[in-house]
Amino acid sequence: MKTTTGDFRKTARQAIDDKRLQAALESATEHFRAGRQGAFAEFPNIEILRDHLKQARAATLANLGTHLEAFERNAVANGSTVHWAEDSGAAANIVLDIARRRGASSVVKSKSMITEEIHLNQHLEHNGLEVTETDLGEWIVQLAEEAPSHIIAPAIHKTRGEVAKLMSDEGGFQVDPQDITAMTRHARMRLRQSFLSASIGISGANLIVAETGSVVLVTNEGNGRMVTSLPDIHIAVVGIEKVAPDWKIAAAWLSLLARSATGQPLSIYTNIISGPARSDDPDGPREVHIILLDNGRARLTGGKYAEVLECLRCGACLNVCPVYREAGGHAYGSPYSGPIGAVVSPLLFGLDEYPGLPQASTLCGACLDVCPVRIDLPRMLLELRADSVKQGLVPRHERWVERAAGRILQSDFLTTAAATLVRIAQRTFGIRDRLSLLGRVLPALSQGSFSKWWREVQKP
Amino acid sequence: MNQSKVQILSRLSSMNPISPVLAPWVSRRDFPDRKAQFKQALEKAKGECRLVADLAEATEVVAQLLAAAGAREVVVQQNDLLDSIDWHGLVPGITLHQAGNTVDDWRKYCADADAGISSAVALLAETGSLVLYSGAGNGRLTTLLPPLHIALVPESHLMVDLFELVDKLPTPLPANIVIVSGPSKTADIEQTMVVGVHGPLRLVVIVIEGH
Repeated sequence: MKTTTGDFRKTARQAIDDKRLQAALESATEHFRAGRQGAFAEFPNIEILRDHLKQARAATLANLGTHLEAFERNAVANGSTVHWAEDSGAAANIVLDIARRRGASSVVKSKSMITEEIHLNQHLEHNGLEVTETDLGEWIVQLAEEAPSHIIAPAIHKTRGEVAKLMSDEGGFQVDPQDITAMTRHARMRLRQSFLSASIGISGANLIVAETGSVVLVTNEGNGRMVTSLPDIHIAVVGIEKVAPDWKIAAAWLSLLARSATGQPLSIYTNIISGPARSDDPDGPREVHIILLDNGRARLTGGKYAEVLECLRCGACLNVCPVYREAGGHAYGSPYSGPIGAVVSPLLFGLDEYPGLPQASTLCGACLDVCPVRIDLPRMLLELRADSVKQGLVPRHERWVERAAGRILQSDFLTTAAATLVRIAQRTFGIRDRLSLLGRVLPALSQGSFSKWWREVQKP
Repeated sequence: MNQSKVQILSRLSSMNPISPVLAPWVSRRDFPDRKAQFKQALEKAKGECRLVADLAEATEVVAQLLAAAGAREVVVQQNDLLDSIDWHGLVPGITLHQAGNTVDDWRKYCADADAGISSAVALLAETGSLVLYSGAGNGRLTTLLPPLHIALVPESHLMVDLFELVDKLPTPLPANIVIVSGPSKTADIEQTMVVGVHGPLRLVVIVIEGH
């Protein structure tokens, strides 16, 4: 079991007590929220575009098989090799197999949540390959041997001092702990050596386009371009849900993606890969492999949770979530954190593995509000909570309390009686403001009851 | 057919194939002054934009930029526009490469170059972007490895937005298309923005008016 409610609370508590982390989380999420707001204000009819893209995503998923087969046909026509992987292990082994057959020993990677999902780095390293993350934030967490804590900004939780030390230790020389520009220049120089010498470049994909068998990868740093242009072999791992049937839909997708994630109209580099280098291209990979991964996605289609597959992985929901903003990403114990993570992790990896995640929400609905494709996460969180009860994953004492509470609240007499008892207890113990009950802090009950006041007010 | 593929496809819920066709998005976006919008959007992303009257002026600007950057080695793409410039006469003492004898040579020239010069298939006004296609004479590394990227682009290549671009994509697509919307940057360390990470530190787009 990966994350129970207890696990979540424990890690969240540490995050909440870490003042520096709280400041970093607030500053980063505020920056992204403000960015998104500005970008949305600038774009005319963006609400209609959101509706359009939602319908397009839903329609695509309703006919996913057709689009995946079209993608494969067109990708193969470009000279790419398409692989199908049913689960994490299969995907990781396909990558390893390609590496082995080409005698490759070093790999550079651009940021990819799906490669975290399949534990690719560990698998390759166990089998003797050298793996270097090249997104600056991912490289930092790799050096620290930690997991990323935000979909868009993996190293939110690291200070400049910590980063400088990691770089100094790795590089064997001093890096000024105050100078962030110098650190970035150091990373440029150090990672360039890796880019130039690696045999294999591994990326994810922000989306794939069936019409032309293309992989689309967006970055701000340029590491996506490096990883897909310098090594002889490029391998892209992508979830089967990430397909756009055609370029018109892909353009709508790209128009909303960066605006929702960071507030940029487009990421600095939007890289569209349609096969290996052609015979008269001066540079580019000799082989392009695309691994289409299922890993629990296919069985969600057509069901009450199908909507979760519409996700663009922009991270906007993380930036507004009152739970994520306090607890941070590590509390979730999954590569996918925040509101989307709370839904997709139990769905893909098992509710019995992540019983704590659907509980980690106030159901405020801010996520639904900002989601570019209006995914109804609050609805699915509630459904998952109901599923938790049906599957017996809720601790017995909690179910007993909820059943008892349900009985009491359904009866006017019992509710009034219970409230009266609580008021007596409050008066006895001198409680005015706050009531601690079963691990929760609630406002104290008021002096008079609403029903009594209502009866008074009705009198002529 | 591949077993895994069969399994995955069979797991997908099959829906009624006769679902209503969604009308594609029609972008009605435009700007009274597309050039000004392009410049503004590119500068917001920390790129630089110079508007010049003709190719001669563009060439002067390139010479100034290279001299000011102290550039000694330069890589240049090949196309009609760029081929009409006398590169060797431009800045004395500069070593220029347009191709390598081998792939490794070419990679080394790009890795060692102080500047990379390209044109562009299109400019996107809305997002301040440059669209680059790979192909003969158009290496990817020219515009990726050197710290300074200079692009000379005729004004006639200016489009409104991404939606216009996707309507005009060639068939087949080139192996690689990059839509560049500024110099490389990151804010991964303490949310502090730094321009210049793996891609170029500086992007200068010279738009040749009336061309």
